[in-house]
Amino acid sequence: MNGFLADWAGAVPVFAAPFLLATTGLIINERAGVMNLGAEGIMAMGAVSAVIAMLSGSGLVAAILCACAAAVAITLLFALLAVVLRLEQVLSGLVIFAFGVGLSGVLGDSYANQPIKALGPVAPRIFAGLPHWLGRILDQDPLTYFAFVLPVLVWWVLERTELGLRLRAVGEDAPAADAAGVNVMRMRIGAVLSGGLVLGLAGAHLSLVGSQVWVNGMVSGRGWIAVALVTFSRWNTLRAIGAALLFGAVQAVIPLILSSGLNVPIYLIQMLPYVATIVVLGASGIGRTSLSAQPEDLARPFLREERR
Amino acid sequence: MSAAAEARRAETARPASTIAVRMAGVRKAFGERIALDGADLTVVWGEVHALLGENGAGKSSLMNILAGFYGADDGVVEVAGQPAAFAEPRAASAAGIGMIHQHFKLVGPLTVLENLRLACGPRAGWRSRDAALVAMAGMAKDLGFTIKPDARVDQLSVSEQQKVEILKVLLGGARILIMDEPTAVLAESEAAAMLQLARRLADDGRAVILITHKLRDVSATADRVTVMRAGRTVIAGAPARDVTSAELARAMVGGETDILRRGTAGPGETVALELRALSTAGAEHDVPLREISLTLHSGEILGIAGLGGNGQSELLEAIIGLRTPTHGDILLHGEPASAFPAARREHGLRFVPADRFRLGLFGSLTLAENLAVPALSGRQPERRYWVTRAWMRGRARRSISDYEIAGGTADTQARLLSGGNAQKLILAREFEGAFSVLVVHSPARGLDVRAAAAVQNRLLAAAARGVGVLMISEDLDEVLALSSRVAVLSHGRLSAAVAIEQTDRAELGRLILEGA
Repeated sequence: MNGFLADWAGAVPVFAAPFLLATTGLIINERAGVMNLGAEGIMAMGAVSAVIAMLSGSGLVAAILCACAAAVAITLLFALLAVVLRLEQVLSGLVIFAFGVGLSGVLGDSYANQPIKALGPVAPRIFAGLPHWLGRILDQDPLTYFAFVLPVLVWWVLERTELGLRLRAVGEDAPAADAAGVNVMRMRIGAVLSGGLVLGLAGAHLSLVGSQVWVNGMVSGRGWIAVALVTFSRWNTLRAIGAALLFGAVQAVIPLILSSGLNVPIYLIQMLPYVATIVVLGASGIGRTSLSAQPEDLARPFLREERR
Repeated sequence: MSAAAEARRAETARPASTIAVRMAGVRKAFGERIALDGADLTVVWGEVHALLGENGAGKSSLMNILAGFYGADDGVVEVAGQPAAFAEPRAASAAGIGMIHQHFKLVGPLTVLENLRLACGPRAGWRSRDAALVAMAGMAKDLGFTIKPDARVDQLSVSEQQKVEILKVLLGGARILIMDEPTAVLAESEAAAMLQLARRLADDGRAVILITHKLRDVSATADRVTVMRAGRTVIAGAPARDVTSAELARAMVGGETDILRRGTAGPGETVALELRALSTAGAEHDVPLREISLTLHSGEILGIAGLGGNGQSELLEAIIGLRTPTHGDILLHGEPASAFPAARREHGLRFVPADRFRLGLFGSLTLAENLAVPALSGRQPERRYWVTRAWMRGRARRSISDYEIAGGTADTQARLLSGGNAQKLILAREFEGAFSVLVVHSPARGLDVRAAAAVQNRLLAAAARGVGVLMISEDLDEVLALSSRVAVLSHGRLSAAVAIEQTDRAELGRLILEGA
């Protein structure tokens, strides 16, 4: 059983990292007042671009950069719809979701199901002296390490810097921020694009570290789960670490159960993350304190001369 | 050259260097609604310049253009002699223009200090939180404000929020201050202090533009006065001591005003509404009601006086059924009131909330739709399942002419109305059909003289028809003018109601300040 637990614990960070990256990216968006429901599609674009770059002979670094570039490109479209043209954000997000997933399928068609050299652990030897399970947890690839550092950085920027103050102000009360001299549109576009870049990293993590292959539809709802995790972590990237670990743990247990030979229907097991999402959202509804952490101006387009 | 001619010459040809703001022939339309139709304004350094006008006269629109919130369609705007068409508020701030809006532009969930850093940080060159703290403390001390820097803005009182706005504008280096009805939201003593502050800021060499529709504010504080009516300037920068209140009132309104005052409609014998030891829970921002008992008779206006934030909104919400009491009973015509607001409405209860757009109107729906909504929800007066635009428009046109709603047609969105016209729209809707109990909260708040009189006359007329009117008001003058009996709400407790003849301003003032 020790082996089972060690396997599980060791797999958790890798499964948690895409959730954590995606949630962090979405929190950057939402704290600036923009709800991006296109996360799933943007992650798919990141994942497929990384694989295409790898199969085309680029290095790992180039593959990650490709993933970011592709994600930012499609996010730019979202920013145009939702921020510049001030369309309904929910609708714009759904459009980007469908477009991103569809486009990734088309682009990845001739690259599907071809294994790639994965992004592996950095330095296994350093952790040799530690207990086996602890070594398994700590010994990870660079992208996973980054996934756990980024939320702390983002938290610091949001809560402790002038830039973060302006970003939060835009999300809480755009007209007031405008009156205070903040360029609302530039701030929102900046937040959306940074968030999109991080979503691209989340996609790259899925294909480069997780599956190590491109399969059409492989993001399989993780983008949507991340949207839910934003609420669960109450728009705080530090809480997002805990939320992502929880979901990573649920997801990491699936292959272990499947390979253990337990006689449980496979689809029932694969449903676990979604059941967990419902439970967690329900729980965050029950435990709600009187003050909601949700940014007040979330998903409300800003137009200066509008009276409201 | 005679002395008089000399003076006239000085008045017309001021040296350019003394002019802070010059606006001429400014036009602005929102869709089909014309807000400004050639407005002029000249303000010099060191003066308090009152900008007077009715609701919807275009005062706020003109100032929003000066402060960069709206773009002008046409006209000249100059600041300190330089052409200035600010595309954005931050461009106006950089040019030294600071506007204190009627609805404060503060980020509620942030703290006081965060709001100040947000607005002035880059310009004031604060390198750290401490630098901002020192600057804030210095300015606050200078102005005599005491405000906790780490308090969340949405947990401050209205007058404290206003002080934060003033700190924000001054720390941002504003030389031209626009105050949009600063006294409208304040209690009497606070209002006087605010006017003194405006005076002091002007004496320091700044230019202060005071938007108001209180004639009293003009005579108390202003050096010169500009009056606007229907988007145009009708009096341009007259010395305030040379014009009488009557002249100003006539210029503002453009016609005669009939202000009907207290009818002596005595209370009927029947009890319309009764509260028995009503208490509510105190949530985060709310004042809990504590054992409130009152009896409202048919045909009387029962005034509830008191300073804002002592449970007024909570009382209104409890009576109309939006807030569940923890103890006590509400009786409508002697029967326990239903738990559902719609059922209470059917039982003859109507209400006019203080915040016209939160509980009163649907801002993004048209006037016709706003007027149709309660007619649809109730079985009375019209039982309808099919709604046609023609039906809604027809009803709306009647209401618009009966209630003299200006600034919009049946198809205008309600949020485009000015405060006074929005209030008339609510009255038009609530007064439709038969009703027997009316609860109003600050019915004339923020309205100009004529609109206030129109609204108050409607209340008197309703009482004369036998409706029991519960008037919750933060304006003591209004309570004294309209009520037949009066009680005072203080810290969620209500004093015993007394006939208006048996009390006076001093006694009520004591109750308001000290509680029962």
